[in-house]
Amino acid sequence: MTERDPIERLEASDGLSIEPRPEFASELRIMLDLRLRMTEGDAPSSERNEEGAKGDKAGSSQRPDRLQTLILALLALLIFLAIGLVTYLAVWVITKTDSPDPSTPTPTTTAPPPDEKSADSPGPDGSLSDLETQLTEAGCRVLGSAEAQRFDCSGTDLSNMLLDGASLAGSDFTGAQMPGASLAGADLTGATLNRVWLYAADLTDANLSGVEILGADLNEARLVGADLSGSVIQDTFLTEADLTDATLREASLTDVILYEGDLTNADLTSASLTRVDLTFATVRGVILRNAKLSQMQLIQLDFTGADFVGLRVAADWFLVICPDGSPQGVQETLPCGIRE
Amino acid sequence: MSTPAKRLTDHEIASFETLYSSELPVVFGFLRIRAAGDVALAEDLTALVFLSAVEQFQAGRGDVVTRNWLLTVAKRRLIDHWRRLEVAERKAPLLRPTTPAEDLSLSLSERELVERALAALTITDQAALTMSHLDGMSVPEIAEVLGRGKRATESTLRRARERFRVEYRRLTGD
Repeated sequence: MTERDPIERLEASDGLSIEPRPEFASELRIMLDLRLRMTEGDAPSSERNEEGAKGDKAGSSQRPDRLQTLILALLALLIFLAIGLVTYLAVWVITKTDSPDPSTPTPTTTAPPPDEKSADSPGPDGSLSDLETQLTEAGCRVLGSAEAQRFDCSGTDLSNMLLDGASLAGSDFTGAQMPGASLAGADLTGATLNRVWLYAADLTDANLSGVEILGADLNEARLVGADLSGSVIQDTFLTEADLTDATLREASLTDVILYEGDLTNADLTSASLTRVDLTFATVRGVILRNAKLSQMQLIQLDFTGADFVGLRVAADWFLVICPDGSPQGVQETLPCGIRE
Repeated sequence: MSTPAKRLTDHEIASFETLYSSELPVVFGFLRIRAAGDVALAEDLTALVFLSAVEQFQAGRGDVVTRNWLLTVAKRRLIDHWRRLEVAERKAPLLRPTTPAEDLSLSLSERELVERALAALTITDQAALTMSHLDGMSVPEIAEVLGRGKRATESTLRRARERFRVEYRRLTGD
């Protein structure tokens, strides 16, 4: 038994069909069957509306149920609003009665808990701003002067933190854990995001121009409208990330996994992409003007509406849809009139 | 992002079910050996592969889903998984339990011995070894997946082979 080289045994063990556990096989079959039979009528609400407009028979049979649900939801909303209004008025009357100075209105809203504070600027008396407090409590260090404040948040845990609109330019987030963080509209210009964990983070409209992102996890991150111009992204996961309308002009992406990512209308003018995995990605309307693609496999991608002017490629193309909506020719190794 | 689901005909559903029945053991077997016998992982990845197949059917591209297509998707999912683990392993090296040096050649099947020997290697070694010896990938191709240079990949492969031999022989009591 041991006379053969173990490597030969390894090679011989491939190609074997193995029956999985029957429970797994049947559970998976049920799940797939449900997905398979899912029609437009079962799809999310936006698709359901389209169905309604089409007047589909199957859809119309379910319409009374939906109408009932809608009416009930509206009623619940009205009751909720009425209760809120009554409570608000009651609190306002009580505070007005108790207030020593009737000219000073008392705020009736509750201050947000510390975790939900959003960023603002430093106080006029030089005290710590909300942003500073929030970040220093999480272990970040303040760097630079008050005018050009930066943070060293390397290795900190900023999970689910609300940092919308925060000024974080030039800050260091190396190795920080930021899953679920909300950084919509934040200024991260020139920030360092090496090995950062930004899983499912919201970076909508964030300014990430000139950032360095190496070995990071941005799977399922929302980067809609984000500005990543001139950024350097390497060895990074962007699986299922949403980069719709994002700007990646002159960005450099190397060994990036954009599996099932969404690049609809993203601007990659003069960007350089090397070994970027675009499997099942959405690339309609993507701007690749003067961009360079190297060592990539572009399979079954729909580039309808994309801009290929000046595009330079060293990639394998297979079954793609060209910007004008026409399919790649069977004999074409470089489709859509692209020149190497 | 996902393609809107279209109503499938009975014929399309039947085609998918035939494909599922015939290819499930193939895809699972393909993934199980490459996942070094990790059944849970192989099941997860198998589910993802067939979900991708369903999406193709719903997008009206059921005809592209062949055995080769399924195995290509399986390989991509696995590479994605390896890369993720490799990054994690770089951050915090995993302590891999070593099995006692006893002769398991009688109690375990040949495939299980191979899986156990593979499981004792690092993720990078597992990935390099299976890509080279199961998928017949060249050193430059493996280097590309691992994000390393050719020389580094060659030495990774050499080291992985040696570790695999040592581990396999340990398991068989040699």
